[in-house]
Amino acid sequence: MRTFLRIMSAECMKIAGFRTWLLILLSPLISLPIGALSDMQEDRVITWQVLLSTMSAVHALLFLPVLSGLFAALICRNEHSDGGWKQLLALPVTRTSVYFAKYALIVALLGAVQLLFLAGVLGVGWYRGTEGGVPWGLLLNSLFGGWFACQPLAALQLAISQGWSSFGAPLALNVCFTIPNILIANSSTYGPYYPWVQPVLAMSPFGEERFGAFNLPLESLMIVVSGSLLLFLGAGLIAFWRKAV
Amino acid sequence: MKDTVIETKNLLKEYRGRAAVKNLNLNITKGEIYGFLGPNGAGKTTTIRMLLGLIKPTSGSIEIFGKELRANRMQILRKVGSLVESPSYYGHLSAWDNLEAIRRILGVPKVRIAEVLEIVSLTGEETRPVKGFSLGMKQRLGIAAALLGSPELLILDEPTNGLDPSGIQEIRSLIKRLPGEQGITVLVSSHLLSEIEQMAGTVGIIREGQMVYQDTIAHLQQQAAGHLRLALSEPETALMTAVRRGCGGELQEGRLVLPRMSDARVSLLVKELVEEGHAIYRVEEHRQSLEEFFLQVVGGGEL
Amino acid sequence: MMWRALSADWLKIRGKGIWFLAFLGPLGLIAMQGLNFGLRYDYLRGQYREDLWGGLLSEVVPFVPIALYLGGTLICSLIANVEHQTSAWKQLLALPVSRTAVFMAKLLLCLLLLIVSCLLLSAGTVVLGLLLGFGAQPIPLADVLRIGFAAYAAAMPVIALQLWLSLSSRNQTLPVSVGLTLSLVSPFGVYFTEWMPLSWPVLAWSDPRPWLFSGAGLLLGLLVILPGAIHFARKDVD
Repeated sequence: MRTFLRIMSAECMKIAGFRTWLLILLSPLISLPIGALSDMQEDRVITWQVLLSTMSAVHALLFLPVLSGLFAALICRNEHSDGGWKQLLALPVTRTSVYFAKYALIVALLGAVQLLFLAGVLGVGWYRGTEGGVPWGLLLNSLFGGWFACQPLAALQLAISQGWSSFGAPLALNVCFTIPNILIANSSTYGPYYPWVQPVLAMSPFGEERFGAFNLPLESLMIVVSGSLLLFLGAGLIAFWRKAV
Repeated sequence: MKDTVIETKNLLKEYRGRAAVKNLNLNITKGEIYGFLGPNGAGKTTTIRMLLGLIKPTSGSIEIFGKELRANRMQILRKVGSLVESPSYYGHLSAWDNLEAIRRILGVPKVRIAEVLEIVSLTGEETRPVKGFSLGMKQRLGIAAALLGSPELLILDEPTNGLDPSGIQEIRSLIKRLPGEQGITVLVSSHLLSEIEQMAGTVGIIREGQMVYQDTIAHLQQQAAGHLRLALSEPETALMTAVRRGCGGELQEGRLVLPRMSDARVSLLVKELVEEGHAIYRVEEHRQSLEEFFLQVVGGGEL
Repeated sequence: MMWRALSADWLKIRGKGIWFLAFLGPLGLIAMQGLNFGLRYDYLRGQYREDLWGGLLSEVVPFVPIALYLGGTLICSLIANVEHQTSAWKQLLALPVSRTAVFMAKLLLCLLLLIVSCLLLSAGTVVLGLLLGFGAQPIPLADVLRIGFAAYAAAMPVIALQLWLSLSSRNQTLPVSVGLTLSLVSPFGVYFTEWMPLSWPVLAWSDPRPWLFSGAGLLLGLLVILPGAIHFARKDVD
């Protein structure tokens, strides 16, 4: 555990910097104008639920899957360029702890994104005078659900990024699989099993206007998510053990 | 009147107010091998980048082949081949394709590729992807690329960096062949004096961005002055005699050490010491090695 | 001069996965629509009964702008990376070739690759339509070509910007992040104002005056190329 924490702090140091902050801030910032300007023409006050679903549309449908891949690529990039892997793995650390440290960092970064997004929703909500008190249960459920549903994707992307020395290639792949989200979210049969669409399914507030894959109980979605998380994390770890440096 | 190939005047390059190169006056004559010498970070690569138009000088002028670089960049670069710092290559392409990519820009005939591969003895390796090459082979490929356009001026930045002794030997003899066979002028930089000493006719030493020495290697070797060491029975009184005679000198480890002087003065001083009753055990001349001289120069000592 | 640089670039991008990407984009979009129509064949066929080709195009079109932006971003970054990776810039730019020619060659290469993608998209759409048995109705060839190329012209400002950013810095995090952001935001651009260049590829298809937006895209693209080329010609090469 001590080594794990040490690796974690080293990892934090490596990625700290302007660019990382920019990426964390990006999606919450973009959802601000979307939330602030949507449904303006109708002259009535909007509910928290509508606000959350508008703001989380772009965020969860496109940004969360892409960011999971981007963070994974970013974390591996330093090691791929200039022979970082051989330096890191020649230190007295186990590969397992290195891998988990990298994974934990991605998850932590995604968590930070979600927290900032929450701040964004609250800010826009208060600015627009959204009706009723803050539905904390709904908001936290949605944020936590989205965060958890990103994790299989993060594990998958980390597995791919650690093996592929190119920075752009895993990203391109990830983005290619993210775009069909717009279609697949409509399908209740295939949607829940498609890792890229899971974040938006988990994040959207479950109101009356359910359609397509949004029609699914949260519990069964979470079971699928947990299963794929274990699968991808395990596969990535095995690949990392076998990786020739 | 010798033909000047490269001439820079008061070259200055500043990065955020810090001068990487200042007041640099480089003077390189046609057909010579010019050794550009200095410790790491002294400004060699910065100067070379400026000579190739890769970076712009903050102030000062550069003339190559008698023409101003900025205004005649294309015309000049057509006659220049270069290898800057670590070799540049496209790792996924074969050696042949790497040269072909450059050839397409230069527009020289295809046979040149085989010729330059032959010159750097990479014939037989040309179909392998370059990322599998050893550092020495990449370095030689870089030199091949520099030679591809049949240049009149070759600029090589640390061409032997990271090579094994036999690789260094090979590249050194290759560089030494060039001026004689094809009349090429070569500017070669290094941080190792021994390297330059064995190749170059003229040497320029740069320290903290400033040229501190520029002359022939032969002159440099002369400059590396020696001194005289005398082992004798009573060094203290002998020192007083030497000082009285105006020879200077000091005591080191019980020996009298005198600066370099003419043969006549040496004989006079020795004679006087003997007459004063000193027993002289040894008279040694200690020549400073070129390496020591170089360290003294780049270490900030005065010439 | 530029043609020489271009023919050298042509050689350099071999085996870098750049061609693969240029093919993957359109083929992926077509495959996705294949699945979409395959799985919901009866429903969609019923819905578009009147104009089957128009229906197919209207299903493909929403994905074209975002795919173009993303493809452009990645292609620009990969092309730039060929030179960044082993700092080949210092070798390339010390050759007797003007920097403007080098910049224009890279731009042209990127545009050519995207033209190939657009052609593939149009061809793939026709093949998919025929496979789905829409052959009984006449193929609207002009519209089929327009799905790719109208958006292509309108996407020019972003492509030019991405090339400039990618060539500028060795670290590709910033250009790729900017490109991804612009791509992901682009579908929502239409909700704001038609003055936003990001939404032009969408409008170049759906607006009653589509040529206006394709033309504006080309024009603004040229305006972005100019400072990009000037900056590239003047910058110091490390």
